[in-house]
Amino acid sequence: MSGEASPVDYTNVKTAGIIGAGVAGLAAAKTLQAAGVACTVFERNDAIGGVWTDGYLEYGVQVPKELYEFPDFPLPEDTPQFTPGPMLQQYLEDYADHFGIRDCIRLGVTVTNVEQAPDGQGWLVSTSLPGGEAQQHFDMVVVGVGLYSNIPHMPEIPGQAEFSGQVHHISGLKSPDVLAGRKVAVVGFGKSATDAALLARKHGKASNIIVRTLHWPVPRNLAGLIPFKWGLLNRLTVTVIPPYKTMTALERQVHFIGKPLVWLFWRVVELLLIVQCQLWTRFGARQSLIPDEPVEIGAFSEATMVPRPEFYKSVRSGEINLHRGRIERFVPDGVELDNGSRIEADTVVLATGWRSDYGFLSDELQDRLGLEDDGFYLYRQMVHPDAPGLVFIGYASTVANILAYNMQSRWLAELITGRHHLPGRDAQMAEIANLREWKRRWIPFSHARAARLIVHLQHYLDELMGDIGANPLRKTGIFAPLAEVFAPYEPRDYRDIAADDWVKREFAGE
Amino acid sequence: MFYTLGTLLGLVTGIVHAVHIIATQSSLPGPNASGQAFYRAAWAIVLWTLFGGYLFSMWVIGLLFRAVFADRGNSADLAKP
Ligand SMILES: Cc1cc2nc3c(=O)[nH]c(=O)nc-3n(C[C@H](O)[C@H](O)[C@H](O)COP(=O)(O)OP(=O)(O)OC[C@H]3O[C@@H](n4cnc5c(N)ncnc54)[C@H](O)[C@@H]3O)c2cc1C
Repeated sequence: MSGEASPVDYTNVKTAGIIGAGVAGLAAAKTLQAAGVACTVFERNDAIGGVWTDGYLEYGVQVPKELYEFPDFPLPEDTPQFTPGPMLQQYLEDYADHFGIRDCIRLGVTVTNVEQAPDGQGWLVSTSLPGGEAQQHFDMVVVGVGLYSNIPHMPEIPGQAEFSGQVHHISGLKSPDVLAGRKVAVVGFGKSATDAALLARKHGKASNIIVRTLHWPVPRNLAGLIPFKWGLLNRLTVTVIPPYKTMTALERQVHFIGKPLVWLFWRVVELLLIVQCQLWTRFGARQSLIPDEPVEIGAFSEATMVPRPEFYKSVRSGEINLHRGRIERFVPDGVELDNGSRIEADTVVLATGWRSDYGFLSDELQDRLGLEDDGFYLYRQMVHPDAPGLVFIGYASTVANILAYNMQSRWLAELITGRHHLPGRDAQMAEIANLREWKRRWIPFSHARAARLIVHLQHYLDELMGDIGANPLRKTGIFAPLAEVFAPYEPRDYRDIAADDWVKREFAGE
Repeated sequence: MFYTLGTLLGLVTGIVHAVHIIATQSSLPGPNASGQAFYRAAWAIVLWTLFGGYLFSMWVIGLLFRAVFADRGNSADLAKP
């Protein structure tokens, strides 16, 4: 670690207030409790699980099960390849029981305010619960409120009063009755929008999807054969995505020389996706579904998705009508797009995402954290030197969040046990500025751009491993060098880090 | 001939990469780090040599096609300091 010593000593942390009992909050509670920190988890819902508590109809994990499990708590053997939401919810309940964290979770309690204690030592957390309000002091506060679940994002569309049908946010789509026999128009083009369009095809009279910006799909199996993790989550692919942060002079030279190869690689990937998902233009009413953005950039946009395989088939067969454009306004019997076309609909489903709610952080604190339109830029996606003791777990959007949040929790636990230290304020601020500049240079805008890492997860994990003094190369066995290059990295590769066995193993004999 | 040239280039790249691996990975945490680094370095030479011809051919094709479809994709151009 470079720079002057950090002014904050995390080794004094004995108590932590954790906001949110989703995957992030649970991972933090389990890891910190094992490190000797007394945790209190505040969860405003009546159940743990966050987004997995109660999703839309047929919701589930996008990525295969081996990419979405706690590294030290495998999913049950009989879990389907793509874990359905309710099953994941049960798994999270089992996790809480297995690691004995249920007792520290307070359900139905909303955190309304977080402020630094007047003497600067620790934080005051105000909560509201049915019985009244309360305030509690903690040495550290962990914010694990998630990127996705809090507030449904409902765009303002003129003319809604005139519309004779129903308007739902995707989160309200909990029963087929909402769609049964209806002409449905879905707005959006993320994973939840494609799911909603498929549900409308199944239960409704007509299924339309209105798409402003096309995105590249990630098929579950590349070329219909190879699970996408082999093409996307190995170190080889990570070397051909837009480089991670600042490069050394040598790395710049290597990237310059390799340009034609990298360029060709991505064009071949695009071609494969175009052929596999049949994205090309057909004559007649059919439209090209090829996104404008090159795939290596588009993969980092807000709506990276692994659609169900039947989605593109249904679009091609006309069972789902895809319309390009932006909704201009509601009309009595449907919606009108900015290109003048009208879509007849009696149910509109807004699959327009969610927004986080950081209202419990005062404006002054949000300023200190440097909140901007595209989110919080934090040191290691977790801490800011001007708000010492306030830690974000889960403020990272990746292909395997459960792994990322577990490793963030481990990093934090190691900070508390004193196995690693933060650099000084200047070094942290310089790193934050570097991160901001890098992301803004090329990652498409979104309100959570600051959190986006997607396939750079591997680089991020390497960084966290480097900080805590663990070996970032985690493949083992005689073919480890091959596996390091070609095999996908999965939560199970970090099992001993999550379980805190790694120090024994990696320093054995020292 | 073309392929052999690629293989030779692969071998050279592999050696350079191997040196880089030994320099950067010999001090990683864990038991026998330098032995592991040498083992990985050996694999790097094997892999680069094996795939050198293929990669070189793709590099040349990329160079030609990129000149024609230059407006599509610029990921490597993002590699600014
Ligand atoms: C359908 C769907 C599919 C997905 N598929 C994948 C996937 O394949 N791979 C992947 O990596 N990710 C996927 N995700 C993203 C997923 O959201 C994250 O992986 C992860 O579950 C987020 O966990 P979290 O704990 O950060 O946030 P959340 O699950 O949102 O939990 C935050 C919790 O904080 C609580 N909370 C918020 N504010 C307060 C407050 N003021 N006081 C008290 N409690 C509060 C909320 O009630 C909530 O329970 C998917 C999401 C959805 C919806």
